[in-house]
Amino acid sequence: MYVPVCSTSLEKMVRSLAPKLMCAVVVSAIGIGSAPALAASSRGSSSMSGPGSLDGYWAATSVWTLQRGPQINGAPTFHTPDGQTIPLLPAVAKIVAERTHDLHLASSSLPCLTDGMPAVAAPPSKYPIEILEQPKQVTILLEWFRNFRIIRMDVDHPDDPDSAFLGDSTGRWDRGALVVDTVAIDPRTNILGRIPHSEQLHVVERFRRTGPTTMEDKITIDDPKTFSRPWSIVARFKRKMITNLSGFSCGSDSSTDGKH
Amino acid sequence: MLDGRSVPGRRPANPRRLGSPIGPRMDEPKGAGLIGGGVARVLAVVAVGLCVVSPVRAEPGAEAAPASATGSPIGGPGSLDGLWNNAIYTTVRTGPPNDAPRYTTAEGEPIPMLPWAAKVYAERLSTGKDYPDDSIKWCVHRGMPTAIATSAQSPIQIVETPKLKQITVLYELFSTFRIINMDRPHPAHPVPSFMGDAVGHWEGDTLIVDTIAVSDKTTIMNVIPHTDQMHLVERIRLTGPGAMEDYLTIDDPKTFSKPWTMVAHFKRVPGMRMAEDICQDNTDKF
Repeated sequence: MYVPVCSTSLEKMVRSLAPKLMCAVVVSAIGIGSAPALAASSRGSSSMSGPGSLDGYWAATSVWTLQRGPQINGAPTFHTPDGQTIPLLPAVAKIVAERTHDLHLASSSLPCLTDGMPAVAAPPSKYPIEILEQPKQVTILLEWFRNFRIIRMDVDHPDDPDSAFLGDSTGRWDRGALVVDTVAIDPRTNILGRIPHSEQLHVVERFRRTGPTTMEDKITIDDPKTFSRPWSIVARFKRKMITNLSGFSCGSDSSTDGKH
Repeated sequence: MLDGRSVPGRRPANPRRLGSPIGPRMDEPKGAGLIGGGVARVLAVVAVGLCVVSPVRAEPGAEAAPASATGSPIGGPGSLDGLWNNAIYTTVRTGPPNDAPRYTTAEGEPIPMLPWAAKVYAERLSTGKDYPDDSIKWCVHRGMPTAIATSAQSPIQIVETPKLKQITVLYELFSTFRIINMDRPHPAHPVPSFMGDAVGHWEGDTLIVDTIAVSDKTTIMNVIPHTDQMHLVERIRLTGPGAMEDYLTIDDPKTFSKPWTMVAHFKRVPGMRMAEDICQDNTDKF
């Protein structure tokens, strides 16, 4: 907002003032523009890149849905909301085409069961997350199913990690972004609600700040038994000015916890 | 299975115990106990049936309080961060197998339950069922205060993030967590939840955690009821190298005639990793 002002006739007036004043104007204008970030600094990240930049509460703003595309050579195709074709192997595309609804793992017979990775990388927007950065571990608290991801920093995966719904995650900082590598994801989880995967699913995420109150997680998905090549999807997040995560409701009325 | 990896209570080498904001000053806890009877069945299901049991190798305990090279106690901010093997309240004591458990306060006294609560407690002990109803069926975590110390087998991890003014406790059991907001008051109208609203501050080497707004659907050790007025104050501190104590004062004027205490002891488990606990994998539902 201050930029157009500076580019008008007022700019000449400002430029005619002492450099100190010019500096003060710019600094104050930046201050106004980043007021939410400054306000959040006591609870969240103050730096815009690298370690410390992701701390605090966030909620996804992008919606992950699987879009059906046209038939090509008689085979069904699917793409992401941004129009990117998902490189499904033909046999997998047929399985996905036969599914008429999303496969959430929690159901009446399997209540309170997390959808696991990679779904939890971008939870529904009504369920915030909190990122807790420590030098050797980054923890992501998930209001969705009220569980957590542990990302061990600067270490290798175990030689034979146990299969888990959230997999085994390791992390490192690379050019200001947190890179998270996840393997050993339980084959019972799915991708975008309908795409199955094998035990060879490999998910690489790049978390980075994109603005004073925003961040993104670029998620690259590879599984040679499911896709013909790796592909990526971006989950976008916005800072949440909250101080706690609610209970998560699942199961019977007698065992619900907080909001639904 | 719940064989009391918990450590018998002992008088802290540093006897300074700061006054509880809700109750009288408490003395040392007495004795560890085994859990049996209906409650043992309940807790055994929780700890063994649902938990992904991981090998826990506790460090040998030490009797003396930790001290730095200068002789001052080691504790305070940062001292609790890391992995701990979960514990059982040392105040949960039972008689011979198949006898009704005899719960006591940390001082070995009867829990000061009002008549309605004593009646509910007796009924629950006699049935041996788990409470809240169906929570195991639905794989819902126990909530406070039972979550503090429910299983000797599954670890917890304390994550101290002073920049965020927060201490978080991760529980392997049920793969859930608890947020403690540091140096701030409770919200004016917290929404009741299983974990409640927890705020904390440091008093010297002791972390004081004050919890309110715990849903009345939770229980105390699966059998003791409470109302929405329950108020919990924990005093958490190191008691020796690799040893931590959580000394809990419970107040609820609608359930108890006076505040009372429980205590749990934890051991560090360095090098251990939290396993994922998919409760549903341990039921017959798949």
